Amino acid sequence: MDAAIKTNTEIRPYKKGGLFWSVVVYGATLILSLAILVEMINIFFYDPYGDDYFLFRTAGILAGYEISTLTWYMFGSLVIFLMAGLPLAFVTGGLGCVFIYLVGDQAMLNILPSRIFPMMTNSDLSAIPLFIFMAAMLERAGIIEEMFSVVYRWMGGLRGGLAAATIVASTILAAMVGVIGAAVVTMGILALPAMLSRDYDEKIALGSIMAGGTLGILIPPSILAILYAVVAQQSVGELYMGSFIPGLLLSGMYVTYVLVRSYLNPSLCPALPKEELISWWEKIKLLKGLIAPLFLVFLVLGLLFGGIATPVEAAGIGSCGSVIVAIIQRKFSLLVLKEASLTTLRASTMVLWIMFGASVFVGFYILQGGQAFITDTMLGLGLGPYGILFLMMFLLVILGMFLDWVGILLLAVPIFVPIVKSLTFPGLFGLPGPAPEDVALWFGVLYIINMQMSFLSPPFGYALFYIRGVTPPHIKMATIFQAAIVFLIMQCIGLAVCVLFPSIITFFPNLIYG
Amino acid sequence: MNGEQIDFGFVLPHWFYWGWLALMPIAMIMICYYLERKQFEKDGTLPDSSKQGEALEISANPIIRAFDWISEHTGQFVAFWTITAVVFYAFEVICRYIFNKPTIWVHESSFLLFGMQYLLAGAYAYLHGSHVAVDIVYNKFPKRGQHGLDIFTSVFSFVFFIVLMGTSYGFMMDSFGMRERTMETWQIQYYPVKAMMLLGGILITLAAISKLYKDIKRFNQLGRSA
Repeated sequence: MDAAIKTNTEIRPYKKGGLFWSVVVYGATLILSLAILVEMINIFFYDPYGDDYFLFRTAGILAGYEISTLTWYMFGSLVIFLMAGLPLAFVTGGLGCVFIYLVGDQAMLNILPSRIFPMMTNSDLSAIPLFIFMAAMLERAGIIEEMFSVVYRWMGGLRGGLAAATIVASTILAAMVGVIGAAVVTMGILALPAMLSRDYDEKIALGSIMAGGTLGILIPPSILAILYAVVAQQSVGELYMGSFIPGLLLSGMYVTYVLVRSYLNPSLCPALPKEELISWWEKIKLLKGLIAPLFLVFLVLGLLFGGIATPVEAAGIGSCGSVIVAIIQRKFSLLVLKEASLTTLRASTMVLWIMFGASVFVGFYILQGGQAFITDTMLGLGLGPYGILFLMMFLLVILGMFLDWVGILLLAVPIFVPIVKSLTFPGLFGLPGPAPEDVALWFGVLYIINMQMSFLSPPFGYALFYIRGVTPPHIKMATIFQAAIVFLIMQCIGLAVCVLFPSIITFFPNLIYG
Repeated sequence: MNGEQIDFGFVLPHWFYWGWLALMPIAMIMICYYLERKQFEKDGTLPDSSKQGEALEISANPIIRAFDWISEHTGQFVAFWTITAVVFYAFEVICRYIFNKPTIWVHESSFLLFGMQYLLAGAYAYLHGSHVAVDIVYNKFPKRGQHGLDIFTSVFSFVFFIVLMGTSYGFMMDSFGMRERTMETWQIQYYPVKAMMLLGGILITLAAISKLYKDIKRFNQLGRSA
């Protein structure tokens, strides 16, 4: 640090091209800032409806434009600034303000607080920090390690048992946390060395960790489901119930795949040697450590599914329970509380600021008739309801390659959901489609499964990078990609099954909510 | 209420709610500071936060250091609110199912608390680089180009923050003018919540200025030969 300060005070010659780029960057920034300054002077000192203005006025210069042109401008500039590395929340917020001013006038800027304030006072959104807090607390209580070591002892005797144990432990974890990340990283640290040292196939080992980790956003309580519910104005509880069975279905598919492959090929994933196995009595004794966390899972899911508590209250109880679990595990202290709270704060603030920014941008776009424009364009393609659904899924996968899941949700869902709601799905291959009143719920769960795939899809899936951070150096990125592909195919099959048999999703919510 | 008293059970007084939100975090920050120092003296380790925030660079400029200090501490301040909401919700469910007496204040107090938290923590998240950006193309640029892009694009963040501050000022004053309270039974004052939009805008502007200063400095350094 000291060196940096010292060298800065000396005047050193420019590098080749250094001066040129300084002029470009500062010039462009200054020109843009001056334009904004002029507009601020206009806003503060001149009558917006009068003819006088300072130097120039750009308010309303885009007013008469067609929505199709505006779509190009808005999303084109969005893509450019996103690629330039400005955080999503500020790109959408800033561009939203610029376009509001260019299309409308300064009075229209007042929609900003009326877009943001409802989100500050939305009671469903409180579940986001609470569930993140619960996960952060459980992580610090050492639950992930505990879970894996128990399940590993139980299933180690099977061929492929460790990989299956990883998936089972991840599934139980997914029922406690609503995000991926912690689960993938911790499992990568714990389970991966355990599997590799026992000559497990690298691809199966990596794949089971990554695929298990992505279950976190599918199996309730999921943060994504809360956000979707708020944006699409659905019930969080119904979405949770709807995504429960698809989550178990995928988890079951992964376990089956691992066990079948290792059964067919004994050298792929060898069973633990006899001397490492423990007796049944010891296995049962081990379960003691799981009582508290499992009780917490049943408590949260029971409160949710029994209709006893709202998702927010269930999140509150779960967080309180996680603090108690941490106290039981002797891991609780004020400093741990502080760390967990700060982790929660960073994650939930990131999500909420994207909501603030994107709601300005997308809200304005919809206000200008963007919704109708996209709907007409999509319907005009003549694809039929399932064709449009497929197109949307395809677009979501493409967006998932570049954008963060919160961004996709806020940019795509407000536009897609009304289109889906307006369509009727008669069913494919003679199978019954979803009932019209269930379409929004059905699409919501399909969307969540789809987002789950984007976490695993090369080249930019998050799970791939989380695991990359903890794998030993001899494992190549290509191996990680290949490991993901098989599980990605299984997710595709799972998605297709849910499209074909909507009752997998709608059965459980209808049973409880009627 | 025309003498007709409805028994709401225990109702959290408004003054206690605001007082708790204002004072509890200060006490917690001080206790944690003391505990961290004690732990440091004992075994020389610092808690997780210093490891996670490895990217934090300490600026030489005292004004920028002050901005960073403000962002860091407002973040810690609001972070401690979370545990309050956790306890409130647990209290609500216990009251409702064990004592059959739902409260009128838990939901409102908790979601308003989180609402204020999101806004105020924007600066803290910015300081710690938690606001996600798309880095596929950005990472391909040379180091200096990245700082240059940051300088240019920061104009758009400032547009957002200035509009946020400007519009929420009017929004807050309207609410303050009529001493607005919520429509629910608890009737907590609404204008402090709206004021947080203005305050959050100011805080994140400070954080953005600090980020811009650091970018400009790095940009200039990288432009000259070593």
